Amino acid sequence: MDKRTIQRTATALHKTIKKLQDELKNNPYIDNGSLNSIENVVYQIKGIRDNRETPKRLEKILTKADEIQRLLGDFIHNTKANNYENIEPPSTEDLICDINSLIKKFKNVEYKNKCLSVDTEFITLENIDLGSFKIKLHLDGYNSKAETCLRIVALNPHPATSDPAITHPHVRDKKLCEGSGFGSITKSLKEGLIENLFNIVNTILTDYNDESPYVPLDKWYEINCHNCGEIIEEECSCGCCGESCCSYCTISCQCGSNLCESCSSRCNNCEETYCQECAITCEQCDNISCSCRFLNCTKCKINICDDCTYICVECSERFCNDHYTRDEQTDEIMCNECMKNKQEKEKEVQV
Amino acid sequence: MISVKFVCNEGDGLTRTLSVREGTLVEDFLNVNFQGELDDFTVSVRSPGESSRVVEMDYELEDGDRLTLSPRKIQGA
Repeated sequence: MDKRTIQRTATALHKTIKKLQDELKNNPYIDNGSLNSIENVVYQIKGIRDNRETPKRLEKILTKADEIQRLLGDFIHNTKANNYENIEPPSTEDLICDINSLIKKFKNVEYKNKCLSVDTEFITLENIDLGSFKIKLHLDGYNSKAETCLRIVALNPHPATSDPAITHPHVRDKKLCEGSGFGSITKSLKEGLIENLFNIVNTILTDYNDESPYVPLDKWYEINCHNCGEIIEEECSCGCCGESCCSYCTISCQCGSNLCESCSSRCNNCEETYCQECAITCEQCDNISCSCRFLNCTKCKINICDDCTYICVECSERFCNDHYTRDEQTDEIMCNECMKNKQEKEKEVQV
Repeated sequence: MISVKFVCNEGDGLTRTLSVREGTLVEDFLNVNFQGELDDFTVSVRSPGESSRVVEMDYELEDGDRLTLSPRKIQGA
């Protein structure tokens, strides 16, 4: 990054941080959670009190008073910590020093499209190579919340096998789950401590918290069954949607292909499982079913299910709705040809 | 007296600007202003117009320094 770009970046940062701080000053924060809790405890004390206090009641009231004292402390601390009436953005000179410190520590410090970014070293945690990451600070969405302006992009992704969006145990969809770094990151964004911000994020990325990762590193390369969620020991993939399934959740179609539960159907007639490829749509009623229920119309050859099939009493062939006739006198079903022959014979007899 | 800006990355408190006596060492400064196990932290200082650098406990603070205390490990979730 050349001197001119550093100056331009620092100016843009100064302007962005000032804008956020002005918003914070105009919207003072009150820790309503603590205040509500205090009101609740006061209400509880009112319930305990009586005209003639007993030692037991007094003890209860004092315990509640202790709770109020603690909650009041929380209220004062949280409200003070979140109010920035005297805060000033760092000067452009300060921010230039921050950028120079980043250049000294990180590779590839860039400012492009209102985004300041740095590249981390290649990160390996618990013998799993995760590759290096680009930490991006977007000035367009700059806010006191990391989720709106910070993105962690894997430069040579080695994601968890079970979810390609998890490129690091604490990164999903390019968003960092800050954990114990939440307070420091929020503070850095509010105060405009840019070097500090990147350092904290880098420290989080180079550390592993095995208590709450998106995917634990000891299961990084394991695949979960799409159907039951269990770890797959013997992998099968669904021939229809391609998802991975365990052997317990894999069903075989009559045609031999493996299917997951959601891609398979069971025939009510023959009770066999069939896949979408093997399913046939009746061209008369649009019902979809297994091939065991289907025939072709002898006349027009279209696929018809057994509900839409009519058997001619004369020739015993099967016909679709369009190629049969019902004899009005006998109520018998006949194909159009047999009916025509029958009518001609009847005419001859009459003559 | 000199002015030192103190950024503590433990918790969510605000950055403080403190006045200390000239010749104050980092160790003395932290003994007064920080309660915690220093072995778990990295101390860096950025003097005006310079890049930040990691310093030892016997570093003598100067006017306008920004002292940053960062945990060596910060766990994501």
